[in-house]
Amino acid sequence: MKRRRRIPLLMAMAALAVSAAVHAHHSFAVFFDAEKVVKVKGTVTEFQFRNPHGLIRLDVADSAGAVSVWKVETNSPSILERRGWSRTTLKAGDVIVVEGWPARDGAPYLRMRSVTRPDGSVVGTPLDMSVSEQK
Amino acid sequence: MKSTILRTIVLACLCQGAAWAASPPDLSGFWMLDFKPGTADPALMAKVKPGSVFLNDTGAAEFGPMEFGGLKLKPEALAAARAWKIADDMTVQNSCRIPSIVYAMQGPFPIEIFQGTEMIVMRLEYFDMARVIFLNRKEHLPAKAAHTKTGDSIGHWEGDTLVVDTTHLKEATITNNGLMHSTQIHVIERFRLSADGKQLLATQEFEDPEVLDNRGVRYITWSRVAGDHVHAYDCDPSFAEAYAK
Repeated sequence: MKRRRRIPLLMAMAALAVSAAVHAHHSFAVFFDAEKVVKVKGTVTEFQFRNPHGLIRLDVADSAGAVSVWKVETNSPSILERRGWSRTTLKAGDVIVVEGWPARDGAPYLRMRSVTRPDGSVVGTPLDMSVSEQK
Repeated sequence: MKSTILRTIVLACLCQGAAWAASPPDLSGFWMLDFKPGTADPALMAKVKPGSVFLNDTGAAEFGPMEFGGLKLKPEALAAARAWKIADDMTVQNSCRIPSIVYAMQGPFPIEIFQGTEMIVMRLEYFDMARVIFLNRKEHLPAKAAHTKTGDSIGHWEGDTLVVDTTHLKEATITNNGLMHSTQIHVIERFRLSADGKQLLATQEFEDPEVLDNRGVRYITWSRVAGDHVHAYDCDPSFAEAYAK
C-alpha cells in the first residue's frame, strides 16, 4: 500500500501581509511565496554561513515519526552578522523552530524569517524587528 | 557708477559660484539601504525626465514573474523574459553572477562613500563592487572602451545634488526576473542628503533603446549608520550545490 506523504508535525501556514521579505541574489518574489509563512520544528544537521545565502538543513519529524529533510535559506551572512548571527550560531543537533516563506514549487525549502530555540529565545534579531530599527 | 554696480554683481556671482564649487555636501560615510524608501523627494523627482515610468521595486520590494512595473519591453526582450527560469539562477554557473549597478544599487545591501574633489568612490557590499565616479572628466570613455558591471561614471554637482551619468555597462539584470539590459543602457543618478542629513536620497533613471520602448526611474534611500563599514561579500557558488542536494 502506498503511504501518503504526511504534513510535518509543527508546520502551520498562515496568510500574512509581508512587506519586508529581503531579497538578495536570486529573485525572492519569483522563488518564494511572500503571502504565506510556514513554521517548521526540526533538528539541525548542517549550517552553512556563506554568501549569497546561508543554508540550514533540518530533519523534521511528522506525527508518525517519519523524518523529512527541509532546507532553510537565510539572508546574506553579512546582513545576518548585523543581526547578531555568526557561523557558530547553529550547530548540528540544535533543535530549532524556523518561521519563513515557502518555495512556490512546494519543495521543502524556506526563506528564513526567524529562528527560535526550544526555550523560546529568538536567535539574533528577526527580520521585521531589524527593519523597524533601521527606520 | 554703473560699472561699479556691475563689478559688484559679477564679484558676488563669482563668490557664490566658488562657494558652491568649494563646498558641496559631504556624502561620505556608511549608508544602510532603507527597505521602504517612503515618499519620493519632490526636489529629486522634479528633475526626472517626463515620461519615465516609476518602478516600485526598491528596498525590500521586488517584482514577481513577468512583472516589470510599467516598463515596455521590446519583442526580443519580452521573449527572453518569458524564456527565463528562476531555476537557472540556482546553479553553480549563475548563483554568483554579478549584477550591474542598475540592480545592485537598490539591492538590500549597504554602501560606503568616500568623497573627494576629483572623484567619488562608492563601495557596494553587494558582490564587493566598487564604483568610481569621475568629477574631473566631462566626457565618457570612447565607445570601444570595455563595458563592465560598474560602467563609466562621470559626475558633477548641481547645487546640493550629485548628478552621475553612467554608460559602458555590461549586460545584466534590471529587475531580477528575466529582464536584462543591454550594453547600450544609459543611467542618470541624482544623490542628495535629506534635510537632517540622516538619509541619502537618490533617483536612478535609465533608458535602453535596445531593450525598452520607454524609460524607467527608481527612488532609493539609505540611512546613515555610524561606525559600520562594508563587509566582504565573497560569493561562494557552491551554495547552488547545497540547494540542489
